[in-house]
Amino acid sequence: MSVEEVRRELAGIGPKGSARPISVFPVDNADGTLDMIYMFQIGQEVRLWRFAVREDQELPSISDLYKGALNMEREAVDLFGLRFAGVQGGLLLGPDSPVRAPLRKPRKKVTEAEAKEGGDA
Amino acid sequence: MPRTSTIPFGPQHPSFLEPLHLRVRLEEEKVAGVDLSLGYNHRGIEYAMEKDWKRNFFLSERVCGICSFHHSTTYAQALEMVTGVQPTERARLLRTVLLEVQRVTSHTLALGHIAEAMGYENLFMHFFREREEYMRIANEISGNRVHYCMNWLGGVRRDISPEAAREVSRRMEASLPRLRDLADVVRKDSTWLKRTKGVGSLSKAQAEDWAVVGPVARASGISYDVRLTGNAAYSLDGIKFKPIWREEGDSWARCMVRMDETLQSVEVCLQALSLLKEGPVASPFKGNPSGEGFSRNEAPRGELMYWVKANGTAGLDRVQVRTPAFVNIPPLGEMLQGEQFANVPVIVVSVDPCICCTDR
Repeated sequence: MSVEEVRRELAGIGPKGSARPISVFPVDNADGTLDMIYMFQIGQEVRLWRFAVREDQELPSISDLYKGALNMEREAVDLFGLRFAGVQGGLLLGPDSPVRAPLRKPRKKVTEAEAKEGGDA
Repeated sequence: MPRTSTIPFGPQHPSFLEPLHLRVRLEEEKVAGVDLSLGYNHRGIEYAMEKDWKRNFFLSERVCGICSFHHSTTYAQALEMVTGVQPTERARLLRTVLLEVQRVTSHTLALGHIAEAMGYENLFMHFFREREEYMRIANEISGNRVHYCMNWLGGVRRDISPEAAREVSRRMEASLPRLRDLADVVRKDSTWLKRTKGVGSLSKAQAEDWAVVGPVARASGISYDVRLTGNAAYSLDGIKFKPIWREEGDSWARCMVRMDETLQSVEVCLQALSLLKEGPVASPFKGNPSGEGFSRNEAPRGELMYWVKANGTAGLDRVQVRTPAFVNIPPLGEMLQGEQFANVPVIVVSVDPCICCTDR
């Protein structure tokens, strides 16, 4: 799953009023990846799209489909340090703020055995 | 060539005391553009909520003092989805009563605030007199006026006696004629109409594009209300409920939706109180939750969503809070476009923007 697939599915749902973004938010996996969750209301149902992204990856924005998603993405930029194409942060944190990505988690410590296991794989 | 100027509205403004900053660009007296700044008071509550899932029943109420019970209820319902614990029937009804009592206090505050923004001080006092009655009713039920501290996983922490329920019903019924009088003012008063009719319009297409919720959406022709569906649906408890919505999309329509919802909330409270049956107010739960869940509720300003990821310890991996004000404030730029600068305070307040919720 990717943002492009989410965009394609949203485009196939119908006119703009058929789907409404409830929230777009990341969950930090503490291993250099984040799960992006796109929560939409479609009719009376809630639909979640979820996929992992790298912390340094630039993601396409969906704010051209729904203006309401823009501040959701800007919040993810400010609080998690994510990047969305064409989306500036600065919604909640000023440009001079010493705080950066305050909701990011410290990376999990990888033990020697785990590193070896990963390397073997 | 029109004269242009830029005027700041906030972050400290006499008509709106919360820290919202609008940089309003004017051509003569008309608004030509608006830049919005938030984040003056961001408190990092989502981060604080990762520390202790039990403490969050009280911490979530601190997101906002006007819809505190909606926050703790939505958090509790999200955890109930994670754990599979079902709140008891009595607890669900007591939650409904308090949710609607708080909606009355919030809507009367919003309407009083608009009255004050247009210089209608006397009407402001009338709205706040009615609000005070519902603050006292909340105190009667929960022991608190603002942060009720009533919610817990699987139910509520305090019951109400049959005598207290009867007294609360009596006081609510007594308030209805006074609230209907206020509804007549909002519907017909010439001062109110002149300041709000056709002012600050948001079309249905714009509302859909900005994904607005609550009375702002329902005033623009979107009939959706969370109380109809999901685990928060009132019909599950046998309560009759129909969303109130209008098509005008202007400041007056937003006021009318809130006013009519105030009367409706009283009716819903009376229904819920009449449906109360003897029984426990909470289901038991031991241990720590593990898994993911979310819940939505119709807070006074619209759909409120909590998403929770629990890891089997006292802490939580993540809590995401999507407040209604977070999506209702950004379209202010489109509502203000082309309006007289003198109407800016009324339009801003007609959205009922809550910066506590937005800067959670």
